[in-house]
Amino acid sequence: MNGILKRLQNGILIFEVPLELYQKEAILFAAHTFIDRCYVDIDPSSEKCINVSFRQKNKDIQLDNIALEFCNELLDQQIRLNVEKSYGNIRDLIVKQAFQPIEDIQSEVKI
Amino acid sequence: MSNGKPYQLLPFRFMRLNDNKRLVVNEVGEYTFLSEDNFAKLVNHTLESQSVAFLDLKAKHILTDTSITSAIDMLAIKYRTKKAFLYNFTSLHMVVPTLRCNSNCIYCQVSKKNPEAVGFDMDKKTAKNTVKMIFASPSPAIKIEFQGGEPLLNFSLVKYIVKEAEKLNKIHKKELSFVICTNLTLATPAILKFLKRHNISISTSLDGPYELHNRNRPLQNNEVSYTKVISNIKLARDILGLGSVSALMTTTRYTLAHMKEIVDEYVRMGFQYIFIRSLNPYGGAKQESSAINYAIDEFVEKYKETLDYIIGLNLKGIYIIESFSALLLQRMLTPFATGFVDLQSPAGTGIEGAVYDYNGNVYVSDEGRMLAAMGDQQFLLGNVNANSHKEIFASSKLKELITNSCIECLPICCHCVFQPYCGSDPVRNYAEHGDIICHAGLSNTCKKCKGILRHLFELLERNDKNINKIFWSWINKMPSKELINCEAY
Repeated sequence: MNGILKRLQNGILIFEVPLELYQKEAILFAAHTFIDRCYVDIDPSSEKCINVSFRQKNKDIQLDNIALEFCNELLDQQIRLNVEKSYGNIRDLIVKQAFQPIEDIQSEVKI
Repeated sequence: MSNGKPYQLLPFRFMRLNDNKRLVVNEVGEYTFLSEDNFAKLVNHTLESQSVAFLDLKAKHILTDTSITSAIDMLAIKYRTKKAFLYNFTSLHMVVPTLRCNSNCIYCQVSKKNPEAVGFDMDKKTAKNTVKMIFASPSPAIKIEFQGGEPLLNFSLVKYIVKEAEKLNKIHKKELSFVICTNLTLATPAILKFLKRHNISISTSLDGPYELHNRNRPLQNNEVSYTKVISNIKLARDILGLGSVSALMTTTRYTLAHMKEIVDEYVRMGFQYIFIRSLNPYGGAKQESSAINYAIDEFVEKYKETLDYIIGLNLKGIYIIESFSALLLQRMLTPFATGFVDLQSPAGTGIEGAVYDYNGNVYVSDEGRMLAAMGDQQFLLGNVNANSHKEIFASSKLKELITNSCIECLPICCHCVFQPYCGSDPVRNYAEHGDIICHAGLSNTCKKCKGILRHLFELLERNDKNINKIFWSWINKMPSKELINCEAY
């Protein structure tokens, strides 16, 4: 975690997330899951990194836990993007086939 | 596989269930639990093709090493089955014969009027047009549910609507059924005999034993609510039969500490169902929120405790179903669609259920009417005396609501592992955070459903034969006869 955690002080947690490890979408999705507990600020600090800061909404929120959870969430969101990429348009085809059968499914599969 | 990988992943969602286990769910709600090791292998395409995990994932269409088109076709059939609730359009029609009520519930969600109030009863012309509107629905099944106020305060109109509906149904030949939601305190043998003659089910409210029920649901005339309700439940059962009365409870801050007593009261009264319901953010429940409300996390913890208690009772041979868990389990463990207007995707508002208020106004849901009673007409679709079925049910307002309620396309929901079992209620979203779109991170409904679904999956992950049998007995609505070593729970 220390790799991406920049600092934790004055009730604010700041991460510097490298874009070579995580896509922007994964960072946004991961940050979004904390909006019930924290105020979240996203700042593209450079072309290589995105800064994500969390300010607790109340003092009962443990920022140490948020830090640990955010790291796991980032990882999970990146895996989601990766596996979604690997099954291409299959999800769309399932829904389409369910309600308006496709004549030649194979020709529409894009993976 | 054509892409050079040993197998093709099919769409799935996942979450960490605990430090060692991942819950993996496919597009149609079939699930499995994977160790961290196997999960890593799955996503890296390195699972051994003869391993138990591989075969399980293949059987559940989370991966395929054969034909992708067959897998898509099979998942599409299952998807269509899961969404079968969309086939028939509006089948549940809630009618408000009067807004007057003799109760004074501390959480009243409908902003009721006093029994003597004038101008809050449905008139015959509106009732006739309401029935005509109901029968314009293309659904082959029509359920008319009388809501309130207290419908027994305008029972002559209830009788009129029942007879009008039966008359129209001689032409339409639909599967017609009736439910009356009543506090039962005004029930008489004559009323109950009418209900029996017309096969009308009773849905009443029982918030627990004597003190709790009276505290939550006092009567306006200072009579003791509990005594009246209990004696009339018995009278109704005598006249209509044992299974004719169902009951609902609402959890307030007062009752949170007494959930087991409430369950015991339901058992004592011979009910086979209890629905542990949280407060709705409408009417009195919103106005009095600081006095009777609670944090949703607190409710979820109590719900879990109470569910465990109910499971314990079932293990001792006392058959009682917790209705919300039973509904979710049916979604988790069977391929079938379930009817529950409040938790569908797309939402059931308007297209599964609609509400006809005493003045003929048509709302997308009972909650839409509750908001209207608080002065917000956001969910008014039209009026039976002024608009056609098409103007109301094919309106751009309703279409917009439904379009925005598909959780498959919403942030957070689109990735949520519980999505195949969940749904959206745009009215509830609007009441909770001012937007018809679900903001999962800010939604109490989301927190409640996630907490309960997670608990159910944790119970399933134990793979305890007795708990599994109880869950199946809830889905099948038949007590299990073969529980083993029940003392252990």
